[in-house]
Amino acid sequence: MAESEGSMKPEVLPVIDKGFDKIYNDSESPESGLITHTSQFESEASPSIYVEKSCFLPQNTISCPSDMDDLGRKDLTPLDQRVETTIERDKSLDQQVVSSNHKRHPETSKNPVSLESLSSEVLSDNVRNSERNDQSDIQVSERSETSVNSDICDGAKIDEHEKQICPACEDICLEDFEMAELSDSHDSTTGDAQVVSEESGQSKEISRGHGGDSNEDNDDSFRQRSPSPAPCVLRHRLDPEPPRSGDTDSATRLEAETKPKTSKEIRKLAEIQKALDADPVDVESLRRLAISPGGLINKHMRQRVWPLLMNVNTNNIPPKPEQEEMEAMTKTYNQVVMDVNRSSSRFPPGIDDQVRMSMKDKLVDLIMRVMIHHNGQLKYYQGFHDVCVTFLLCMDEDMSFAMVNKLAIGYMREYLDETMERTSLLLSYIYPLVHRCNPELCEHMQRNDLGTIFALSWVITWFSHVLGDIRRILRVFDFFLASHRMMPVYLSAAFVLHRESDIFDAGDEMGYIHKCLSVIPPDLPLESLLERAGDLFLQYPPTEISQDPMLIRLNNQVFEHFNHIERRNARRLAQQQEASHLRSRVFVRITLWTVTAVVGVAVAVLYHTYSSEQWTAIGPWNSS
Amino acid sequence: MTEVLFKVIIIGDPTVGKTSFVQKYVNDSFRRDYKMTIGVDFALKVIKWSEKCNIKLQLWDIAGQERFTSMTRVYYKDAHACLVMFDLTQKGTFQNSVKWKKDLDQKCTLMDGSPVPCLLLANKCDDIERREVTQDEIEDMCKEHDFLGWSETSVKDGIMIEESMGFLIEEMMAKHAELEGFSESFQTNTSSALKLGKEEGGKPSGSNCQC
Repeated sequence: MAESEGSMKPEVLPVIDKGFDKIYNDSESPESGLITHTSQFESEASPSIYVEKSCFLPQNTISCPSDMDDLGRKDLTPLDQRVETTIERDKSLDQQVVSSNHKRHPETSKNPVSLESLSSEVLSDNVRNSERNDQSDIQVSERSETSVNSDICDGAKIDEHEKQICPACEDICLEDFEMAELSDSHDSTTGDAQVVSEESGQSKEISRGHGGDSNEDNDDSFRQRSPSPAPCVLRHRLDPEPPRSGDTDSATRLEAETKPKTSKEIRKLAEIQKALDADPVDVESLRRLAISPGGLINKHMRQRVWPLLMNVNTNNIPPKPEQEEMEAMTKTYNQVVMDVNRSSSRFPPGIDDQVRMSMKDKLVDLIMRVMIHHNGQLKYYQGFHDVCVTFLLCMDEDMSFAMVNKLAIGYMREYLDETMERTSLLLSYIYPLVHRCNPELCEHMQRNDLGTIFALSWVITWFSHVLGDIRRILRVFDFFLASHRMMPVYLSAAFVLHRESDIFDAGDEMGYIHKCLSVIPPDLPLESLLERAGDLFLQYPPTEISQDPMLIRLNNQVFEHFNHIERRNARRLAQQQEASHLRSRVFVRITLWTVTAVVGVAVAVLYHTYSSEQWTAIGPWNSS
Repeated sequence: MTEVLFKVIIIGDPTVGKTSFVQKYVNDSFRRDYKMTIGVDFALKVIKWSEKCNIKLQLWDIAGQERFTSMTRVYYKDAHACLVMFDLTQKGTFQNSVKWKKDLDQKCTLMDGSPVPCLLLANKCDDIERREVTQDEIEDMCKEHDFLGWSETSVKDGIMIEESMGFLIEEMMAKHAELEGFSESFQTNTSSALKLGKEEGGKPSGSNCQC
């Protein structure tokens, strides 16, 4: 740590003209901020099983791919189990076979986080990295193994793209649906294939474009289970949804189909493909492409690139826990079901009701799976489901789990704390950032006691709660997944700076300013805001801001506030204990008194009886 | 024309219908799928109270999840009145409304030291089949915990929304007149350097707050 900090001096770079793509060419800058930040927060952290600093350093993986397996292992494995798993590391190939069995028959494994699966996770990660060079080949061969059904459905997807829902294969349907949603119409899909076939001659792979190999298995198993249209069976007690009126989806579809794919997007897709095909995979370029305007363009690219950006282990994903296990965490489970019931607005408009219900069901599974995987060490918050649903809309359940699980112990760890203290500290960064760029605006906001709560939902849901349009949300996720963990805070500052005139217009009234900021205008220039956030990050890296007197002052207020709450809770607890203690003491005393009294009376009676006998027998008057 | 500004906060467990209530009251609209509130939401309604008086009503819709309360309690500050809401179809939310009320009273009082006027709203009264709380229970709790009063409401069917708010506004206006007199007499009796609360729109503000 010390060494890294020493070698990485925060520097203010003249950014704007160089373009945002340039940002992460200089890998030192983000890392330096990252390290300082990590150390700062780690030192304040409540006891946690995830003590590895390295899990906060995904950027490291770019420069030293040999560390990848370690990182993946560290992140996915609790500390105590890690020691044991390392012992078994050398049995790599056997374990790989075991692990693939796990994956193919998740139902057969009743033991969610067995040692075996953990070690196989580690080992296959090793194998995966050693074979990373051959990754694309593996994918092609795996695909050739997929069932005929899969090909039929693929064909159906491309040829009969007007057909909205294919009840036989839900995942494909969603994909199909979302293709319309994300402007990935029939033409564009074939367009992708053409572009890529020029690049690599693997048109089949690209037309499906899945990153996670497990997709194929899942699709297959699903098809086998439900070959004909069937009412969706829900695992969880979700409220039924009233059928929606209006044929909005056909309208959406039509709009999407008429929208041409720009040559820029086609060019970018080719670039992404090139980076994926590179040997080894060019993660650094992928990172740059995810950050640059347009992000990763479509769902298929995201499925492949996101795990690489986060260095997520896509093999040996532990199986879903049993239903009973989920329900055993009663409080969290009820909260999650309640929140998922209310998440309808997060699904694309026009999505089939049954499909949405089934996805909600999977959403409960996903959230509970993450919570159970960490044995209740993480505390669920409202808004975490917004993050989870975003992944579920983009990739299958297992991949979503792998991604969300990684985020939960990495980028989003603070939000999942027992208290909001560390989240509050993060939000405080917004003020010094705004102050550097626009001191008057900052002063105006502080004078009106605006606080930071307006940005709470932005940061803890990565803007997915407020942006509405799934395309914009996915774009923001591209950006965040490829950036530093503090980036949501920088984007929040960029949002505030963008609304400068509106904030001033709201006048000296905290409510109006809050209202103004919480409504996201539909014409928000998202790309330029992302660029601004990136520029802010380079100009004022977290290392620099963390030394800002304003931040220190704000943080002290946060500390004071939370200490106050803690003290009060402690006092209340002490009072309760005192009261119960007092009650028990009174009880003991009363018991003692009662016993003493009873014994006393008994003794008196006995004495009296005895002495009266004596009295009559040897009374003084008798003896005399 | 005078203008009075009132700040009203709405608290209660998640999904009892706080956001729906505010939207119904302010925009007269009801949707089934409101997004949950993360943090706080703000809404404003201007009411023509009389020929001479307009009321600006600030409604602060506060997130129900417990973990957010450490951050949202700050918004209790300066409240003139409060709505504690629960869901008639979930008994747990009824029991928790006592906690919400106690939490508020611990944090805030009006300027004269009296508790912030608080109305208990029993929402979703349209759903008779799933009702879990009786009127007697509500009545008892209302008396025991010093609520100003209580009312059954149905945001979905628009039952007792305006009436409840009207009742609360009258109460606030009465208190406002009283407090105005109180603060005036207080100000004349003590040194003028002493500042009483935060002045809002030329009127003395609602409550003192230790949070």
